[in-house]
Amino acid sequence: MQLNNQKSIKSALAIATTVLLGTSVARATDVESTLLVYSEKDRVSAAEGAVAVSHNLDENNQVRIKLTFDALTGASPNGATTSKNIQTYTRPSGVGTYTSQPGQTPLDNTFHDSRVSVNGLYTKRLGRLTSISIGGNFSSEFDYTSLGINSGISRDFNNRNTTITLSGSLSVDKIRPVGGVPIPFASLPLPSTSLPRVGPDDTKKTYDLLLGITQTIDRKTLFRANYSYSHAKGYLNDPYKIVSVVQDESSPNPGEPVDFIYEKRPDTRSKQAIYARLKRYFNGNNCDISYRFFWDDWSLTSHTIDLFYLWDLKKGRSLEPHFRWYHQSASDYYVPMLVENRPLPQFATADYRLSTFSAVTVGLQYAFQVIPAHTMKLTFEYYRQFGDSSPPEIFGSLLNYDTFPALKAIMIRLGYDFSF
Amino acid sequence: MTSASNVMSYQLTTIDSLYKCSFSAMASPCEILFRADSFQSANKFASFAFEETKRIETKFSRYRTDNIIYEINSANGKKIKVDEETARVLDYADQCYQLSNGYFDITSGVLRKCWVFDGTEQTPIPKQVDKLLLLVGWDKVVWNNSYIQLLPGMEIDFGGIVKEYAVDRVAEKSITYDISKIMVNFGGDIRTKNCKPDESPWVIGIENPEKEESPLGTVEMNNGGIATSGDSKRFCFHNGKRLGHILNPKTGWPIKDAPRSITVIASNCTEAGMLATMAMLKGGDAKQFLDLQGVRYNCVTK
Amino acid sequence: MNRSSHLLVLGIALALGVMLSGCTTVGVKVWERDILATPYMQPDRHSIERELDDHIYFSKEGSSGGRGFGGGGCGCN
Repeated sequence: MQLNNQKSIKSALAIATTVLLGTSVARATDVESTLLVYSEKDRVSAAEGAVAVSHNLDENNQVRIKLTFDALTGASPNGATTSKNIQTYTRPSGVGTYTSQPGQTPLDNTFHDSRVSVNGLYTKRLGRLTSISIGGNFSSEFDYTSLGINSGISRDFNNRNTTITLSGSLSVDKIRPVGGVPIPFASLPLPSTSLPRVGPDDTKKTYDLLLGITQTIDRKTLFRANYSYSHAKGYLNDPYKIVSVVQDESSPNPGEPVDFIYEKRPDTRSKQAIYARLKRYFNGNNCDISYRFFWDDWSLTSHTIDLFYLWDLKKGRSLEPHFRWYHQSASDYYVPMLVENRPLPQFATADYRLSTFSAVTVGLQYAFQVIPAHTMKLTFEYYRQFGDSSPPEIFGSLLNYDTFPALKAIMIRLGYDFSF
Repeated sequence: MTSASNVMSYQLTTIDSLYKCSFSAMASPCEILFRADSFQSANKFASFAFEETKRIETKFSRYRTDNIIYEINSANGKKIKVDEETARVLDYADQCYQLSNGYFDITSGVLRKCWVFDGTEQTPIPKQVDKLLLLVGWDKVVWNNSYIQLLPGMEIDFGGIVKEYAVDRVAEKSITYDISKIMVNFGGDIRTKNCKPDESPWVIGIENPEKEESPLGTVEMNNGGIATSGDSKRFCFHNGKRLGHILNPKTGWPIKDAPRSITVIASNCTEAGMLATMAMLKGGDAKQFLDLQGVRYNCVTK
Repeated sequence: MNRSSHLLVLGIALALGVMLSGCTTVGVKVWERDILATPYMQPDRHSIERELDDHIYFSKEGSSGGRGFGGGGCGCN
């Protein structure tokens, strides 16, 4: 026999042998932890911590438990338009007021919240090609509770080069707004008065379905595509968001508010997304690019591109720049404000998160090995939203103000991962 | 200290600070040296090792009529669904077939029907070989990772895999019995494991297949495998030339200029065994092949 | 975007998936999985960080989901 193939097969054979002997899965525990500080200029600040522990019970059974804690404080836009006067709003509780200064974006500064959440996932391999999982999650904040279950199945095909995943989840959320659930389109109560409320709380149910395919393209390339469908039913308003009703063009003060009313959104929302991701290895470095197209039946659509490039600096150190671009076009229900003497639309929200805007994230992560199997990661990211400062719907005094003052935020993350 | 004297079971004795479990399986003397906390835990592991080896031997033996190998070989063209473990071995055999460009072939066993390696001039007539060659070739087998389908008359066997696999299985599973230091030796196919870095390494003598009384040397090893391919007692002569028993699945004849025996040291016994077998199939190029792999080996060519 | 173009995008994605899974030249042999087995190539690498990111973006933007389930369990949106 000729040695026509002058290539060492030892490493290839070693991998094949490892698979045969089933030694690749050790009895190991992986711990991931992250501390995140998020800070918006003049607005919300948040601190978030998370710890996830994955443990292989044996070759076929794995559990993962994740604990998240976050604390939020600061001011958030309440949806009202900017005015040349001082504006006064009754606090959501009905007790006390807060104000916004002339020419300033109205912000609700009562915003402070903390949230704890627990996630558990159990994964079981059924033979070489199939695995199933079942999980649950619970989260709680002072005005919101969520309980969910999820389950999935995945199967390998095509010599394990293709994996198809199907999973579903169901969650039931309970909302208990401070001061009760406001009646949609009702006026904000006058200070020290109370208005009738829908009730003390309301619920929301969400069903999710995810179909995914992971495909090995070649020795250095991995492709993933998902289709996801999510249907929410129940209370979908933001109980703290209001809409300004302004004087019309023929009034003495066009664009100045006459009333503030609670927003009103439909009670169902179906979201769909297609997500595609490519991971490729280049000479020790690694590129990870993904694209998401999202649309829902509130006619909001969005495009997201996420790009990571990992430079392996050897000796366990790496540098990973990150770039993200996001653009969404507004939901049909988004209005910057409502106008006096005009018929009320069926639904209306002035929540900027349903308006048209773009966002960019740039970031850099440095990771290094502290001791073998212990990695520390430092990440710095900058996030900025760009919206339409002067949408066509506005008129009068509103033309003097920036309808979409850019949101600028920095995120600093400290991560520590280890295995034992 | 003997826990059982029945030949169908195992013997557990102590040597210095180690336990020694010995039994007979896979046509070889099997010996396991290991360290354990107590006789009781040593016996627990010894019992497992014996049962596991017997289980693997029974399941994959080509001489039985009650196992998966028989079911596959006697399917007469039908599709057979195999269990997890068999599927892993078949996947491995498939990969080795491809890595060796078709020289390592688990369907080549039928060729033994016409070859008698008894040291005489007896060789088959070429027509006989050609007829059997029609039943050889992993490429003729349908294997889709859970079903296997052979042509009627074809046979597979896991020679060159199973004994080494059993050696590694026993060694790997020792962790779950809190065994930190172990050497598994099934008739010269060896796997060692030292979990503690401060343990003294195992010292293993490499036998000379030609002269048992003068070993070729010793090897110090913490974690690794050793396996030997070749059997100097099985050969025949053709036109005055000595032919070893390693058959070429492409010609049906013994591999030309194959070494008498090859011993390879690798990270585990299965890998060492496969490298030795593949080197054997390279005939006169065996050494060149092993040099390329960058492994330690011993090759007896005379 | 109208409904028919949504279906078109979905159709393309599914066709791509079927093409890839049906094509035997795409993919690798077991022994070619050395690079794919490195930590950097794991699809769920940095999973906890991605989950935190998803949560931030969920509370600041109108979209969610795609990579995994659509977030939620939070009164932030």
